[in-house]
Amino acid sequence: MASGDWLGLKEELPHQRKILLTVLSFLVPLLLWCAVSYIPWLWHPLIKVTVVGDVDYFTEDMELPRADFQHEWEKVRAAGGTLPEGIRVNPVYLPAPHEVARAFYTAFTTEPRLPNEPWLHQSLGHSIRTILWGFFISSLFGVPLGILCGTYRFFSRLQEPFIEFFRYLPAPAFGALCVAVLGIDDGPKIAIIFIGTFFQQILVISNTVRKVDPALIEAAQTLGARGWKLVRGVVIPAAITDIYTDMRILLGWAWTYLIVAEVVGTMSGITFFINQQARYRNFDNVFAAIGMIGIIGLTSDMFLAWLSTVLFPWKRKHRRRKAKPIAISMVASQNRGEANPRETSAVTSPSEQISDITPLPPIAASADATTNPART
Amino acid sequence: MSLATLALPDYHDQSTEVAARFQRIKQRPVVLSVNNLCKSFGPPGHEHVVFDNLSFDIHRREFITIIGPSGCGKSTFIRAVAGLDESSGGEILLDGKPVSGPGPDRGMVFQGYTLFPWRTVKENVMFGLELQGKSSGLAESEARQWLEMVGLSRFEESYPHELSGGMKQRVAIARALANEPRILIMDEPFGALDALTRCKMQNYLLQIWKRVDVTILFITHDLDEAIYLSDRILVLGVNPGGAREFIENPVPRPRTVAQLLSPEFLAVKARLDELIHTPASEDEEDKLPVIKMTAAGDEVE
Repeated sequence: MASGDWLGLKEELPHQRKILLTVLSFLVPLLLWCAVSYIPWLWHPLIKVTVVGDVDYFTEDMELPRADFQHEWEKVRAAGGTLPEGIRVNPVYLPAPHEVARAFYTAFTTEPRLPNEPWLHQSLGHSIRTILWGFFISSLFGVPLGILCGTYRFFSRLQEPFIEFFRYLPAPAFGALCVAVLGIDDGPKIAIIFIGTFFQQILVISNTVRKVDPALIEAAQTLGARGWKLVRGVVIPAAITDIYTDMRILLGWAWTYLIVAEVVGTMSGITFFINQQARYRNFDNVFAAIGMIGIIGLTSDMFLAWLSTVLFPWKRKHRRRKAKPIAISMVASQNRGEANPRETSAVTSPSEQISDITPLPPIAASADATTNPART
Repeated sequence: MSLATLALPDYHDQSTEVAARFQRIKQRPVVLSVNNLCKSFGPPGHEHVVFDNLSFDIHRREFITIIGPSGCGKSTFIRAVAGLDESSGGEILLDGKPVSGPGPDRGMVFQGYTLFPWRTVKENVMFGLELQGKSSGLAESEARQWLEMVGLSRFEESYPHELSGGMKQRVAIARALANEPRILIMDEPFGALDALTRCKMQNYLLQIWKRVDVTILFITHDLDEAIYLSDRILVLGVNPGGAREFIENPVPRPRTVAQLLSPEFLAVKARLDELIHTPASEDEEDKLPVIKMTAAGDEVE
């Protein structure tokens, strides 16, 4: 591999560079944020008053636009009074990184202001529960229906035209209806996540199943598979890894429906927490809570990605090949003398030559045992 | 030098042993019988006829190769025998019973390897055995025997993506044979392999064929491969589609690579060449319009 080429097309990057780039992908936005927060002459559109001076309406810690402050300052100077002083600050809705970092911890330890309000960890737990229920119920019906539609034209034609229509209806539009039917607690929230996921799920999974290599199905048919055994033995296993990937993406979509779902009925979960903190102007907590959603989403996806290598061992790229050393030693010991007048310039990969030189064992007994005794 | 200019024997001439062998083959029972088979595509009145009135018998443990230019319907025919496509008319009888739909009595090996990637090599071979309702223990021990026969016992726990092309195709052969089909249909099985591996696979296939009670129907577009492997060669043509000739291969068995230059071999090859490369098709396709994109005098030949 050509090292030094950072922009090689389709070229696998060395491990160290991959890690470096991963760190950078988080570090660059963070550095931008730090720059805006800590370098006083970058943005900082407001002035926070530290010395009131001779301006009537100024109070300590008051924040106002720079131009207004400048205007007052010049008026006072012209009048010859005590000059006001102030420092440049960012608006309250852009807290500095260290404040948000601190909030990641303090948000969990801050007692709710009202006795019946949930703690942050309770809010998060509530949100995760809502998502998992919605996604679970959706998958319970969506996955089998998707496989059915992908396998049989009959079901595809019977269901998909309606689903194509229904998936354009925005899930939040059903909010009022869901509340009317299911009450104001978790029912309508789960229902909205269900509506948002279910119809996409059927279409995405049926498309995935339709992409199964028809040659695999034909091969199975010539081996005697038909009907349900063909679906269970070939169609589903052939599509299962792609269905799993679809499910990971769909779970990500379910999170985007969460915030809408949680404002339906009584506001709950992480949305309630975010709204409440915004009302108290604790924007560091707001940022921390949004960040937590990202962290939960990313770690759960990384977990699912790892889980897939456990569930689907045939998808692993690198696997120790115990057969290889044996095959290599055979090449060394074997005399490759057979003439091949038909091919003079065939170039094969080393693995191809090694593996295909394995001779057929001179057995007749084992074949006899499994074939008809009659032979010529 | 073209093959036609060599002084070659008539490809109809057979040595006594070869003639006796064909006599023996003809006395064996007929496994596959094709009667007036035809296939056409398109709306009625504007059909494109792929082949018409195809009729022949194949005897038990015969090795038949089918050869023809692209578009002659080799694959269409073989897929009809496998039951994957329906024919437009005529009938295909396997052991006297008409064929309808795919079944385990007709094994098939495809050009693309079509191994199940989620199953290990051993589990791939077990697939058909499990469908027959055999217990997993029995299926496993039988699968091991078949893998031993194709020389891949060491790789029984590997997944298909860890194997080379030639090995994958040997697994596919073992998987098809494990069902003990009456006939093994092979659709350009070595077409995707490099020439060296291909030659080895041909020898493997001949060895396997000798040890197993199976009749082989083998499609190829390679003249050498068709002659090297076969007892008889069915030549299909285009415009009009259908059988050109069913050649009894005079090259004696056992086959060795040295025979590739023997007079009988070259005689058959010359005949195949003649049947497949008709002058009409060469006129249309081989000549390019005379447009020159290089400087005058800058010739490569």
